[in-house]
Amino acid sequence: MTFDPDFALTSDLYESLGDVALNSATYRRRVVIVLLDLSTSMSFLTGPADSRKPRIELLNEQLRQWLPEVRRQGAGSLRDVEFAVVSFSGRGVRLLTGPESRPGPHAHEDGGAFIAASDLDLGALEAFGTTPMVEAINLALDLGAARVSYLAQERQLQTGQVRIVMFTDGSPFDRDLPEDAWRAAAERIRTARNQRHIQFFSFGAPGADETVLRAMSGDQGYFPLTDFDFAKLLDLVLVASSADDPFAAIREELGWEVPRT
Amino acid sequence: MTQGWRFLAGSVTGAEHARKGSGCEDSYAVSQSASGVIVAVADGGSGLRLSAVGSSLAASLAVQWAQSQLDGVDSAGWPADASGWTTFAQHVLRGVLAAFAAMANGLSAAVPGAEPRDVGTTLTLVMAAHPWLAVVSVGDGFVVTRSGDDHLDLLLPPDPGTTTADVVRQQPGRTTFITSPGAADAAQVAVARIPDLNGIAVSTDGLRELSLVHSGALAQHPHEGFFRPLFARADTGEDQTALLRLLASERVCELTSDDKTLVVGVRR
Repeated sequence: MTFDPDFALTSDLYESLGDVALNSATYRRRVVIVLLDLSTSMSFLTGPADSRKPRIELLNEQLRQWLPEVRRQGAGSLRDVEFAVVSFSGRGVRLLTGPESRPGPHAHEDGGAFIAASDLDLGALEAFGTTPMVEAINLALDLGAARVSYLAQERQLQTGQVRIVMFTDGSPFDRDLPEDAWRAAAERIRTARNQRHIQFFSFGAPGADETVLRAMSGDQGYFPLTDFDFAKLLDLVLVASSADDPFAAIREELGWEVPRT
Repeated sequence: MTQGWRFLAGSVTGAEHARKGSGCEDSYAVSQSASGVIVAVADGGSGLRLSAVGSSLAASLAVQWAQSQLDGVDSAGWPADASGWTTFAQHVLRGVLAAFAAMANGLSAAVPGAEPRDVGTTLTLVMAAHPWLAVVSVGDGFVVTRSGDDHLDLLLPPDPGTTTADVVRQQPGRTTFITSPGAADAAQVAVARIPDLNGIAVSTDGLRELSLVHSGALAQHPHEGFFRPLFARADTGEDQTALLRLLASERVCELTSDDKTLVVGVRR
Protein backbone atom coordinates (compact mmCIF):
# COMPACT_ATOMS: atom_id res chain seq x y z
CA MET A 1 0.00 0.00 0.00
CA THR A 2 1.41 3.37 -0.92
CA PHE A 3 0.93 6.57 0.97
CA ASP A 4 0.48 9.83 -0.85
CA PRO A 5 2.93 12.24 0.75
CA ASP A 6 1.29 15.19 -0.94
CA PHE A 7 -1.95 14.44 0.88
CA ALA A 8 -0.22 14.00 4.21
CA LEU A 9 1.63 17.28 3.82
CA THR A 10 -1.37 19.28 2.79
CA SER A 11 -1.27 21.79 5.59
CA ASP A 12 -4.33 23.66 4.41
CA LEU A 13 -6.75 20.75 4.55
CA TYR A 14 -8.94 22.88 6.77
CA GLU A 15 -7.80 26.37 5.87
CA SER A 16 -9.08 25.82 2.34
CA LEU A 17 -12.58 25.70 3.79
CA GLY A 18 -12.32 29.10 5.40
CA ASP A 19 -14.92 30.56 3.06
CA VAL A 20 -17.61 28.33 4.55
CA ALA A 21 -19.09 30.52 7.28
CA LEU A 22 -20.72 28.91 10.32
CA ASN A 23 -23.68 30.62 11.87
CA SER A 24 -22.42 31.77 15.26
CA ALA A 25 -25.80 32.80 16.63
CA THR A 26 -27.62 30.27 18.75
CA TYR A 27 -31.21 29.73 19.70
CA ARG A 28 -30.74 27.39 22.61
CA ARG A 29 -29.73 27.89 26.20
CA ARG A 30 -28.68 25.35 28.77
CA VAL A 31 -29.35 26.48 32.31
CA VAL A 32 -26.87 25.20 34.91
CA ILE A 33 -27.05 25.98 38.63
CA VAL A 34 -24.05 25.04 40.76
CA LEU A 35 -24.56 24.70 44.51
CA LEU A 36 -21.42 24.86 46.65
CA ASP A 37 -21.25 23.88 50.30
CA LEU A 38 -19.03 26.49 51.98
CA SER A 39 -19.71 25.50 55.58
CA THR A 40 -17.02 25.37 58.25
CA SER A 41 -15.90 21.88 57.30
CA MET A 42 -14.54 23.36 54.10
CA SER A 43 -11.92 25.14 56.21
CA PHE A 44 -10.59 21.83 57.56
CA LEU A 45 -7.11 20.85 56.48
CA THR A 46 -6.68 18.16 53.88
CA GLY A 47 -3.94 16.69 51.72
CA PRO A 48 -0.62 14.97 52.34
CA ALA A 49 0.91 15.45 55.80
CA ASP A 50 3.68 17.71 54.54
CA SER A 51 1.42 20.02 52.56
CA ARG A 52 -1.95 20.14 54.26
CA LYS A 53 -4.14 23.06 53.34
CA PRO A 54 -7.68 24.17 54.10
CA ARG A 55 -10.10 22.60 51.66
CA ILE A 56 -11.43 26.03 50.69
CA GLU A 57 -7.91 27.16 49.76
CA LEU A 58 -7.48 24.16 47.50
CA LEU A 59 -10.85 24.87 45.89
CA ASN A 60 -9.91 28.50 45.29
CA GLU A 61 -6.63 27.44 43.71
CA GLN A 62 -8.38 25.10 41.33
CA LEU A 63 -11.07 27.64 40.50
CA ARG A 64 -8.38 30.06 39.35
CA GLN A 65 -7.35 27.50 36.73
CA TRP A 66 -10.85 26.28 35.94
CA LEU A 67 -12.62 29.57 35.32
CA PRO A 68 -10.43 30.66 32.36
CA GLU A 69 -11.04 27.25 30.77
CA VAL A 70 -14.80 27.66 31.18
CA ARG A 71 -14.61 31.13 29.64
CA ARG A 72 -12.54 29.75 26.76
CA GLN A 73 -15.06 26.98 26.13
CA GLY A 74 -17.78 29.61 26.39
CA ALA A 75 -16.86 30.55 22.84
CA GLY A 76 -17.19 26.95 21.71
CA SER A 77 -18.76 23.91 23.28
CA LEU A 78 -20.26 25.90 26.18
CA ARG A 79 -21.52 28.77 24.06
CA ASP A 80 -25.16 28.08 24.91
CA VAL A 81 -24.56 27.40 28.61
CA GLU A 82 -25.31 29.91 31.34
CA PHE A 83 -24.42 29.43 34.99
CA ALA A 84 -25.76 30.58 38.30
CA VAL A 85 -23.46 29.69 41.20
CA VAL A 86 -24.96 29.55 44.68
CA SER A 87 -23.18 29.00 47.98
CA PHE A 88 -24.67 27.76 51.22
CA SER A 89 -22.94 28.35 54.53
CA GLY A 90 -23.32 30.13 57.85
CA ARG A 91 -23.64 33.35 55.87
CA GLY A 92 -26.83 31.97 54.35
CA VAL A 93 -27.66 31.07 50.79
CA ARG A 94 -25.89 33.49 48.47
CA LEU A 95 -25.56 34.09 44.80
CA LEU A 96 -21.92 34.08 43.73
CA THR A 97 -22.83 35.19 40.22
CA GLY A 98 -24.63 38.36 39.22
CA PRO A 99 -24.72 41.76 40.87
CA GLU A 100 -26.71 40.82 43.98
CA SER A 101 -25.57 38.25 46.53
CA ARG A 102 -29.04 38.09 48.09
CA PRO A 103 -31.52 36.29 45.82
CA GLY A 104 -34.11 38.87 44.85
CA PRO A 105 -37.30 38.77 42.79
CA HIS A 106 -35.43 39.58 39.57
CA ALA A 107 -32.54 37.13 39.95
CA HIS A 108 -33.90 34.97 37.13
CA GLU A 109 -34.00 37.81 34.61
CA ASP A 110 -31.27 38.92 32.25
CA GLY A 111 -28.71 40.87 34.24
CA GLY A 112 -29.47 38.73 37.29
CA ALA A 113 -27.86 35.58 38.64
CA PHE A 114 -27.25 33.81 35.32
CA ILE A 115 -23.97 34.44 33.55
CA ALA A 116 -22.88 33.14 30.15
CA ALA A 117 -20.07 30.61 30.36
CA SER A 118 -17.86 33.00 28.40
CA ASP A 119 -18.22 35.57 31.22
CA LEU A 120 -18.21 33.31 34.27
CA ASP A 121 -16.08 34.59 37.13
CA LEU A 122 -16.10 34.13 40.88
CA GLY A 123 -14.30 35.92 43.68
CA ALA A 124 -12.33 34.10 46.36
CA LEU A 125 -14.59 31.80 48.36
CA GLU A 126 -14.72 31.64 52.16
CA ALA A 127 -15.87 28.83 54.43
CA PHE A 128 -18.06 29.65 57.40
CA GLY A 129 -20.69 28.18 59.66
CA THR A 130 -23.56 25.81 58.97
CA THR A 131 -24.94 23.93 55.94
CA PRO A 132 -28.35 25.31 54.85
CA MET A 133 -28.61 22.81 52.03
CA VAL A 134 -32.41 22.63 51.95
CA GLU A 135 -32.78 26.37 51.52
CA ALA A 136 -30.18 26.28 48.74
CA ILE A 137 -31.98 23.48 46.93
CA ASN A 138 -35.31 25.23 47.15
CA LEU A 139 -33.72 28.37 45.78
CA ALA A 140 -32.15 26.42 42.91
CA LEU A 141 -35.44 24.77 41.97
CA ASP A 142 -37.32 28.07 42.05
CA LEU A 143 -34.60 29.99 40.26
CA GLY A 144 -34.23 27.35 37.53
CA ALA A 145 -37.97 27.17 36.87
CA ALA A 146 -38.25 30.94 36.76
CA ARG A 147 -35.30 31.21 34.37
CA VAL A 148 -36.74 28.61 31.99
CA SER A 149 -40.08 30.39 31.96
CA TYR A 150 -38.41 33.78 31.47
CA LEU A 151 -36.27 32.60 28.56
CA ALA A 152 -39.25 30.96 26.85
CA GLN A 153 -41.60 33.88 27.29
CA GLU A 154 -39.29 36.85 26.96
CA ARG A 155 -36.60 35.53 24.65
CA GLN A 156 -38.30 32.59 22.89
CA LEU A 157 -35.36 30.39 23.83
CA GLN A 158 -35.55 26.63 24.20
CA THR A 159 -33.78 25.37 27.33
CA GLY A 160 -34.52 21.74 28.10
CA GLN A 161 -33.93 20.42 31.59
CA VAL A 162 -32.19 22.64 34.12
CA ARG A 163 -29.03 21.01 35.38
CA ILE A 164 -28.46 21.42 39.11
CA VAL A 165 -25.01 20.38 40.29
CA MET A 166 -24.36 20.25 44.03
CA PHE A 167 -21.13 19.72 45.91
CA THR A 168 -21.08 19.03 49.64
CA ASP A 169 -18.88 17.47 52.30
CA GLY A 170 -21.52 17.42 55.01
CA SER A 171 -25.16 17.02 56.00
CA PRO A 172 -28.02 19.48 55.68
CA PHE A 173 -28.30 21.84 58.64
CA ASP A 174 -30.88 24.53 58.11
CA ARG A 175 -31.11 26.47 61.35
CA ASP A 176 -34.74 27.52 60.91
CA LEU A 177 -36.08 24.26 59.49
CA PRO A 178 -36.91 20.89 61.06
CA GLU A 179 -34.10 18.38 61.08
CA ASP A 180 -35.81 16.20 58.50
CA ALA A 181 -36.65 19.08 56.12
CA TRP A 182 -34.31 17.49 53.61
CA ARG A 183 -36.92 14.80 52.99
CA ALA A 184 -39.35 17.33 51.57
CA ALA A 185 -36.54 18.81 49.47
CA ALA A 186 -35.63 15.35 48.20
CA GLU A 187 -39.26 14.74 47.26
CA ARG A 188 -39.40 18.06 45.46
CA ILE A 189 -36.27 17.15 43.50
CA ARG A 190 -37.62 13.71 42.69
CA THR A 191 -40.85 15.18 41.37
CA ALA A 192 -38.99 17.71 39.23
CA ARG A 193 -36.73 14.94 37.93
CA ASN A 194 -39.67 12.72 37.05
CA GLN A 195 -41.36 15.59 35.26
CA ARG A 196 -38.13 16.09 33.31
CA HIS A 197 -37.81 19.65 34.53
CA ILE A 198 -34.36 19.12 36.00
CA GLN A 199 -31.35 16.86 36.08
CA PHE A 200 -29.82 16.72 39.54
CA PHE A 201 -26.22 15.79 40.24
CA SER A 202 -24.71 15.57 43.71
CA PHE A 203 -21.02 15.14 44.35
CA GLY A 204 -20.36 14.04 47.90
CA ALA A 205 -16.86 14.44 49.29
CA PRO A 206 -15.77 12.41 52.36
CA GLY A 207 -18.05 13.47 55.19
CA ALA A 208 -21.11 13.95 52.99
CA ASP A 209 -24.34 12.27 54.03
CA GLU A 210 -24.81 9.50 51.50
CA THR A 211 -28.38 8.72 52.59
CA VAL A 212 -29.49 12.27 51.99
CA LEU A 213 -27.67 12.69 48.69
CA ARG A 214 -28.88 9.40 47.31
CA ALA A 215 -32.46 10.28 48.25
CA MET A 216 -32.13 13.61 46.50
CA SER A 217 -30.28 12.52 43.39
CA GLY A 218 -31.42 8.97 42.86
CA ASP A 219 -28.80 6.33 42.21
CA GLN A 220 -28.15 7.77 38.78
CA GLY A 221 -27.23 11.25 39.97
CA TYR A 222 -25.25 10.56 43.13
CA PHE A 223 -21.50 10.53 42.74
CA PRO A 224 -19.46 9.86 45.89
CA LEU A 225 -15.94 11.25 45.76
CA THR A 226 -13.10 9.53 47.56
CA ASP A 227 -11.03 12.63 48.29
CA PHE A 228 -10.89 16.40 48.00
CA ASP A 229 -9.47 16.49 44.50
CA PHE A 230 -11.06 19.77 43.44
CA ALA A 231 -9.49 19.70 40.01
CA LYS A 232 -11.37 16.48 39.40
CA LEU A 233 -14.55 17.88 40.94
CA LEU A 234 -14.50 20.94 38.70
CA ASP A 235 -13.80 18.75 35.70
CA LEU A 236 -16.89 16.74 36.60
CA VAL A 237 -18.94 19.93 36.94
CA LEU A 238 -17.84 20.85 33.44
CA VAL A 239 -18.87 17.43 32.15
CA ALA A 240 -22.25 17.73 33.90
CA SER A 241 -22.70 21.11 32.24
CA SER A 242 -21.62 20.25 28.74
CA ALA A 243 -22.29 16.60 27.91
CA ASP A 244 -25.38 15.62 25.97
CA ASP A 245 -25.71 12.55 28.18
CA PRO A 246 -24.17 13.90 31.37
CA PHE A 247 -24.87 10.97 33.70
CA ALA A 248 -23.09 8.52 31.41
CA ALA A 249 -20.31 11.02 30.74
CA ILE A 250 -19.66 11.53 34.45
CA ARG A 251 -19.61 7.79 35.08
CA GLU A 252 -17.15 7.41 32.29
CA GLU A 253 -15.02 10.24 33.65
CA LEU A 254 -14.99 8.51 37.03
CA GLY A 255 -14.03 5.23 35.41
CA TRP A 256 -17.28 3.55 36.37
CA GLU A 257 -18.92 1.04 34.12
CA VAL A 258 -21.47 2.77 31.92
CA PRO A 259 -24.72 0.78 32.04
CA ARG A 260 -26.25 -0.17 28.74
CA THR A 261 -29.46 1.54 27.84
CA MET B 1 -35.70 12.99 -18.15
CA THR B 2 -33.54 14.14 -15.30
CA GLN B 3 -30.13 15.58 -16.02
CA GLY B 4 -27.23 14.19 -14.02
CA TRP B 5 -26.60 15.41 -10.53
CA ARG B 6 -23.32 15.61 -8.66
CA PHE B 7 -23.17 15.10 -4.90
CA LEU B 8 -20.94 15.89 -1.98
CA ALA B 9 -22.00 13.93 1.06
CA GLY B 10 -20.79 12.82 4.44
CA SER B 11 -21.68 11.63 7.91
CA VAL B 12 -19.27 12.36 10.73
CA THR B 13 -19.43 11.12 14.30
CA GLY B 14 -20.10 13.83 16.85
CA ALA B 15 -17.64 14.44 19.65
CA GLU B 16 -20.09 13.12 22.22
CA HIS B 17 -20.44 9.78 20.47
CA ALA B 18 -16.75 9.65 19.63
CA ARG B 19 -15.88 10.12 23.29
CA LYS B 20 -18.20 7.25 24.25
CA GLY B 21 -16.90 5.11 21.42
CA SER B 22 -20.43 4.57 20.15
CA GLY B 23 -19.75 5.63 16.57
CA CYS B 24 -21.86 7.58 14.14
CA GLU B 25 -25.61 7.03 14.37
CA ASP B 26 -26.40 9.12 11.29
CA SER B 27 -26.69 7.71 7.78
CA TYR B 28 -27.48 8.88 4.29
CA ALA B 29 -28.25 7.36 0.91
CA VAL B 30 -28.43 8.83 -2.59
CA SER B 31 -29.79 7.48 -5.83
CA GLN B 32 -30.48 8.87 -9.28
CA SER B 33 -32.03 7.47 -12.40
CA ALA B 34 -33.68 8.80 -15.51
CA SER B 35 -36.78 9.40 -13.41
CA GLY B 36 -35.29 11.57 -10.75
CA VAL B 37 -33.02 12.06 -7.81
CA ILE B 38 -33.64 10.56 -4.37
CA VAL B 39 -31.82 11.55 -1.19
CA ALA B 40 -32.42 10.32 2.36
CA VAL B 41 -30.77 11.20 5.64
CA ALA B 42 -31.48 9.50 8.96
CA ASP B 43 -30.44 10.20 12.53
CA GLY B 44 -30.52 7.18 14.83
CA GLY B 45 -31.88 7.82 18.31
CA SER B 46 -29.13 8.51 20.81
CA GLY B 47 -29.01 5.88 23.50
CA LEU B 48 -30.93 3.28 21.53
CA ARG B 49 -29.09 -0.01 21.15
CA LEU B 50 -29.47 -0.38 17.39
CA SER B 51 -29.70 3.25 16.34
CA ALA B 52 -26.87 3.10 13.81
CA VAL B 53 -28.37 -0.02 12.27
CA GLY B 54 -31.74 1.70 12.17
CA SER B 55 -30.54 4.87 10.48
CA SER B 56 -28.53 2.97 7.88
CA LEU B 57 -31.42 0.69 7.11
CA ALA B 58 -33.95 3.50 6.99
CA ALA B 59 -31.90 5.64 4.60
CA SER B 60 -31.19 2.76 2.21
CA LEU B 61 -34.70 1.42 2.36
CA ALA B 62 -36.29 4.80 1.77
CA VAL B 63 -34.12 5.59 -1.24
CA GLN B 64 -34.63 2.20 -2.85
CA TRP B 65 -38.36 2.19 -2.21
CA ALA B 66 -38.85 5.73 -3.48
CA GLN B 67 -36.73 5.08 -6.55
CA SER B 68 -38.71 1.97 -7.35
CA GLN B 69 -41.97 3.88 -7.00
CA LEU B 70 -40.73 6.67 -9.21
CA ASP B 71 -39.23 4.35 -11.81
CA GLY B 72 -42.31 2.15 -11.77
CA VAL B 73 -44.41 4.78 -13.47
CA ASP B 74 -43.77 6.45 -16.80
CA SER B 75 -43.22 10.15 -16.35
CA ALA B 76 -46.51 10.75 -18.10
CA GLY B 77 -48.18 9.01 -15.20
CA TRP B 78 -46.57 11.15 -12.52
CA PRO B 79 -48.79 13.42 -10.45
CA ALA B 80 -49.69 16.61 -12.24
CA ASP B 81 -50.02 18.91 -9.28
CA ALA B 82 -48.89 19.57 -5.73
CA SER B 83 -51.81 17.67 -4.27
CA GLY B 84 -50.89 14.59 -6.29
CA TRP B 85 -47.25 14.78 -5.23
CA THR B 86 -48.26 15.18 -1.61
CA THR B 87 -50.31 12.00 -1.88
CA PHE B 88 -47.42 10.27 -3.62
CA ALA B 89 -44.97 11.32 -0.87
CA GLN B 90 -47.32 10.05 1.82
CA HIS B 91 -47.76 6.80 -0.08
CA VAL B 92 -44.00 6.34 -0.27
CA LEU B 93 -43.63 7.06 3.44
CA ARG B 94 -46.31 4.55 4.37
CA GLY B 95 -44.49 1.93 2.31
CA VAL B 96 -41.20 2.72 3.99
CA LEU B 97 -42.73 2.64 7.46
CA ALA B 98 -44.41 -0.70 6.85
CA ALA B 99 -41.27 -2.32 5.47
CA PHE B 100 -39.12 -0.79 8.20
CA ALA B 101 -41.44 -2.03 10.94
CA ALA B 102 -41.15 -5.57 9.61
CA MET B 103 -37.39 -5.30 9.44
CA ALA B 104 -37.22 -3.78 12.94
CA ASN B 105 -39.11 -6.76 14.32
CA GLY B 106 -36.76 -9.16 12.60
CA LEU B 107 -33.63 -7.33 13.63
CA SER B 108 -34.63 -6.92 17.25
CA ALA B 109 -35.63 -10.57 17.45
CA ALA B 110 -32.13 -11.50 16.36
CA VAL B 111 -30.48 -9.42 19.09
CA PRO B 112 -31.04 -10.66 22.64
CA GLY B 113 -32.69 -8.05 24.80
CA ALA B 114 -33.43 -5.68 21.93
CA GLU B 115 -36.83 -4.30 21.05
CA PRO B 116 -38.13 -2.92 17.76
CA ARG B 117 -37.93 0.59 19.17
CA ASP B 118 -34.16 0.17 19.49
CA VAL B 119 -33.80 0.86 15.76
CA GLY B 120 -35.52 4.23 16.22
CA THR B 121 -34.37 6.86 13.77
CA THR B 122 -35.50 10.03 12.07
CA LEU B 123 -35.87 10.02 8.30
CA THR B 124 -35.91 12.82 5.77
CA LEU B 125 -36.58 11.75 2.19
CA VAL B 126 -36.27 14.02 -0.83
CA MET B 127 -37.62 13.08 -4.26
CA ALA B 128 -36.77 15.39 -7.15
CA ALA B 129 -38.54 14.63 -10.43
CA HIS B 130 -38.25 17.69 -12.61
CA PRO B 131 -39.91 20.13 -12.12
CA TRP B 132 -41.33 18.76 -8.88
CA LEU B 133 -39.67 18.35 -5.54
CA ALA B 134 -41.39 16.31 -2.84
CA VAL B 135 -40.07 15.94 0.69
CA VAL B 136 -41.39 13.82 3.51
CA SER B 137 -39.78 13.87 6.92
CA VAL B 138 -40.27 12.22 10.29
CA GLY B 139 -38.18 13.92 12.96
CA ASP B 140 -35.92 16.94 12.74
CA GLY B 141 -34.00 16.73 9.48
CA PHE B 142 -34.18 19.72 7.14
CA VAL B 143 -33.92 20.54 3.44
CA VAL B 144 -32.48 23.56 1.66
CA THR B 145 -32.96 24.22 -2.05
CA ARG B 146 -31.03 26.35 -4.52
CA SER B 147 -32.79 27.63 -7.59
CA GLY B 148 -32.23 30.12 -10.38
CA ASP B 149 -29.41 32.50 -9.75
CA ASP B 150 -28.17 31.13 -6.44
CA HIS B 151 -31.44 31.64 -4.58
CA LEU B 152 -31.63 29.62 -1.35
CA ASP B 153 -34.76 28.49 0.47
CA LEU B 154 -35.40 26.46 3.60
CA LEU B 155 -37.94 24.18 1.97
CA LEU B 156 -38.41 21.97 5.00
CA PRO B 157 -37.48 23.32 8.47
CA PRO B 158 -36.27 20.96 11.21
CA ASP B 159 -39.21 21.64 13.52
CA PRO B 160 -42.79 20.85 12.64
CA GLY B 161 -44.02 23.80 14.73
CA THR B 162 -45.02 26.91 12.90
CA THR B 163 -44.45 29.33 15.75
CA THR B 164 -41.73 29.88 18.27
CA ALA B 165 -44.15 28.86 21.00
CA ASP B 166 -44.53 25.47 19.33
CA VAL B 167 -40.81 24.97 19.28
CA VAL B 168 -39.93 26.11 22.80
CA ARG B 169 -42.26 23.48 24.19
CA GLN B 170 -40.11 20.76 22.67
CA GLN B 171 -37.17 19.36 24.54
CA PRO B 172 -33.86 19.65 22.68
CA GLY B 173 -32.79 16.26 21.46
CA ARG B 174 -36.26 14.77 21.68
CA THR B 175 -37.96 14.12 18.38
CA THR B 176 -40.20 11.70 16.54
CA PHE B 177 -38.76 8.49 15.11
CA ILE B 178 -40.16 6.37 12.33
CA THR B 179 -40.75 3.73 14.99
CA SER B 180 -42.75 6.17 17.13
CA PRO B 181 -46.52 5.69 17.43
CA GLY B 182 -48.24 7.97 14.96
CA ALA B 183 -45.07 8.59 12.95
CA ALA B 184 -46.97 8.81 9.66
CA ASP B 185 -49.34 11.41 11.07
CA ALA B 186 -46.46 13.38 12.55
CA ALA B 187 -44.57 13.48 9.26
CA GLN B 188 -43.98 16.80 7.57
CA VAL B 189 -44.61 16.88 3.83
CA ALA B 190 -43.39 19.69 1.58
CA VAL B 191 -44.01 19.80 -2.16
CA ALA B 192 -42.84 22.51 -4.55
CA ARG B 193 -42.74 23.02 -8.28
CA ILE B 194 -39.30 24.48 -8.97
CA PRO B 195 -38.46 24.41 -12.70
CA ASP B 196 -35.10 26.11 -12.13
CA LEU B 197 -34.06 23.92 -9.21
CA ASN B 198 -30.30 23.39 -9.38
CA GLY B 199 -29.30 22.42 -5.85
CA ILE B 200 -30.51 20.40 -2.88
CA ALA B 201 -29.01 20.13 0.60
CA VAL B 202 -30.40 17.60 3.04
CA SER B 203 -29.19 17.42 6.63
CA THR B 204 -29.79 15.86 10.02
CA ASP B 205 -30.31 18.17 12.99
CA GLY B 206 -26.65 18.17 14.00
CA LEU B 207 -25.98 21.07 11.67
CA ARG B 208 -29.10 23.14 12.23
CA GLU B 209 -27.53 25.72 14.49
CA LEU B 210 -24.50 26.22 12.28
CA SER B 211 -26.29 26.35 8.99
CA LEU B 212 -29.70 27.89 9.62
CA VAL B 213 -30.66 31.35 10.81
CA HIS B 214 -33.15 31.36 13.65
CA SER B 215 -35.57 33.92 14.91
CA GLY B 216 -36.08 33.04 18.52
CA ALA B 217 -36.30 29.27 18.54
CA LEU B 218 -37.65 28.98 15.01
CA ALA B 219 -35.44 28.17 12.03
CA GLN B 220 -36.16 30.83 9.43
CA HIS B 221 -33.86 30.50 6.44
CA PRO B 222 -30.53 29.02 5.32
CA HIS B 223 -27.31 30.68 6.45
CA GLU B 224 -26.08 31.71 3.02
CA GLY B 225 -22.44 31.91 4.08
CA PHE B 226 -22.61 28.24 4.91
CA PHE B 227 -24.47 26.85 1.91
CA ARG B 228 -23.24 28.96 -1.00
CA PRO B 229 -19.59 27.83 -0.78
CA LEU B 230 -20.65 24.20 -0.46
CA PHE B 231 -22.97 24.37 -3.46
CA ALA B 232 -20.15 26.06 -5.35
CA ARG B 233 -17.77 23.23 -4.54
CA ALA B 234 -20.33 20.69 -5.68
CA ASP B 235 -20.74 22.70 -8.91
CA THR B 236 -17.04 22.43 -9.74
CA GLY B 237 -16.64 18.91 -8.42
CA GLU B 238 -12.97 19.63 -7.88
CA ASP B 239 -12.86 19.16 -4.14
CA GLN B 240 -14.59 15.89 -3.38
CA THR B 241 -13.43 15.70 0.24
CA ALA B 242 -14.45 19.25 1.15
CA LEU B 243 -17.65 18.36 2.91
CA LEU B 244 -16.21 15.56 5.01
CA ARG B 245 -13.27 17.75 6.02
CA LEU B 246 -15.63 20.50 7.03
CA LEU B 247 -17.86 18.22 9.09
CA ALA B 248 -14.82 16.79 10.88
CA SER B 249 -13.11 20.14 11.38
CA GLU B 250 -12.34 21.48 14.82
CA ARG B 251 -14.40 24.63 14.35
CA VAL B 252 -17.53 22.63 13.52
CA CYS B 253 -16.93 20.17 16.35
CA GLU B 254 -16.50 23.06 18.77
CA LEU B 255 -20.01 24.21 18.00
CA THR B 256 -21.87 20.92 17.91
CA SER B 257 -21.18 17.63 19.65
CA ASP B 258 -23.91 15.83 17.70
CA ASP B 259 -23.42 13.51 14.73
CA LYS B 260 -23.52 15.51 11.50
CA THR B 261 -24.80 14.47 8.09
CA LEU B 262 -25.12 16.61 5.00
CA VAL B 263 -25.82 15.72 1.38
CA VAL B 264 -25.31 18.53 -1.13
CA GLY B 265 -26.46 17.84 -4.68
CA VAL B 266 -26.25 20.07 -7.74
CA ARG B 267 -27.63 19.68 -11.21
CA ARG B 268 -24.79 19.39 -13.71
